[in-house]
Amino acid sequence: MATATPSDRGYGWARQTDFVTAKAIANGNFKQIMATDQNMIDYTPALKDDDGWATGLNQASDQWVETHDCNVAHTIPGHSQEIGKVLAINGSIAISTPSGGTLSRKHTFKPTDPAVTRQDPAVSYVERLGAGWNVLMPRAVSDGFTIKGDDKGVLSVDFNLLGAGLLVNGAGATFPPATTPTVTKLSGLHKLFNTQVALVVTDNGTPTTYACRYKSFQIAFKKTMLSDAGYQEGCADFFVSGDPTSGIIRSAHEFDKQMLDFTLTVKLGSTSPELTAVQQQKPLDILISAVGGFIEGAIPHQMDIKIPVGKYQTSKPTFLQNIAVLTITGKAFFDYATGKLFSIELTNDVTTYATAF
Amino acid sequence: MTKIILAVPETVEFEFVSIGNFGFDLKPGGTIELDQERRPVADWLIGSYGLVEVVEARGSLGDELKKLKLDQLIEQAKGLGIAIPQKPKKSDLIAAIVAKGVEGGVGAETGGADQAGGGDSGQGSAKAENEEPPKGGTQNGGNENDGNGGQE
Repeated sequence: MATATPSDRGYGWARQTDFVTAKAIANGNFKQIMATDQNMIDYTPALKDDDGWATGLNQASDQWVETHDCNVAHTIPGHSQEIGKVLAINGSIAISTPSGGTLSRKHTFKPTDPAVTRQDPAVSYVERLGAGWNVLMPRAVSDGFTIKGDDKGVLSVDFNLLGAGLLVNGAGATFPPATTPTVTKLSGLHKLFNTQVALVVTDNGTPTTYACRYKSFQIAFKKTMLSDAGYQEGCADFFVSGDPTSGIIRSAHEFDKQMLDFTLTVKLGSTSPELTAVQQQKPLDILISAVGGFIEGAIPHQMDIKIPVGKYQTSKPTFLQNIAVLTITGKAFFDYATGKLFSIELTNDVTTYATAF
Repeated sequence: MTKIILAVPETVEFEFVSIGNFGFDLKPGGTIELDQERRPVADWLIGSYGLVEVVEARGSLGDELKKLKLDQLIEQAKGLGIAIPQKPKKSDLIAAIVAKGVEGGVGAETGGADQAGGGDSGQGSAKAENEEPPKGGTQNGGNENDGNGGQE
């Protein structure tokens, strides 16, 4: 048997129509995840034993599974089309066509309104490693994402997929370069770079355009999850369908809190209004834009991250590449005027993320 | 079954919106129907995207009226003493008739003739309940799993 190496790995995902219905492993149903990491699924069943029971023994004599759990973490490059998939499983999306556009679409993301639903869309996830590992993890939801840009490179997106505990071993997913793989190869992707980013922070109507002083950014949208509540005792939702001894899996996986933290790095200017902003806890309107190449006419691939009310927590001089910079950390607050914590407007050539990807 | 009917304005910024496992095509002048239990979704569509609640039809009256042609609706409306606007719209007439015809006048506050939307409610409607999304295109309605899906 040939030795499997990291290059033998493959990942894919497909959006489900609801939480419980797994996507079938079939031609074209799944799309590749172009992960830059080498992570594989963590499977963590909740094991219990009879240690301490009146068995007459001085040690456990039996062990069993009560609940199943699994998750995987991935990082993908900031392709304008792929960022949207991560957004789509983390909140609400509104699609419009930019003025003068036919191929291009603007996808406006906002965190899900918990008054409407706490169940964000789920995906079926597959991964393989050589011939010995081919696993399907249905009912996987995301607990947020981190988008970041630094140095001269491509933006990147970190995200977790939290499974319901169900893993199908020997799923039979096929990956490129197979002739007709069940996991479709990605093509036509457009990269967004940190060198395309512009940062504007507006304080009470007065904008500061950082232009050449901009260095790096990171936004981290995090949802705390109602993970334990997802195991619903009465649902009879077992690891092996119809086998009540096989341990339960989640029947839902809803979010609880939503929060957004950010880190900005800018070169030192002639003054430090950022320190004052920390001291006075000024509400700031933050816009992070990455403008890439054109889709059609004058419509570019673009991502605008809008934080209408951000407050700085720290603003500290540090050194980056032997120059003095300010590293700013902060947090977003819900803006009642616009009804959002933050939004991301993503313009690309994807028609919709509402159906399969 | 109780339904919530939302009219999409003639001018709308977004062509498709989704939240959770729900997705809606916002076709200008079209309507969206939701079961009463989806009231939070309806409120979200109204509050976030400017849809207008046309009527909450009790029983099957609203559904029956939707099957009628415009001139039939006008006759019915006249019979109930409802003023007919110069350019009557089906959805407005349905709203007004239901408001008159149903005890309590549900939806009366939104049944005005100058209300946005109001095109043929059969055009561009999106059913959001238990409907498989079309393959390839945008999703007309989604299935939401509230947590117990598949177990009921």
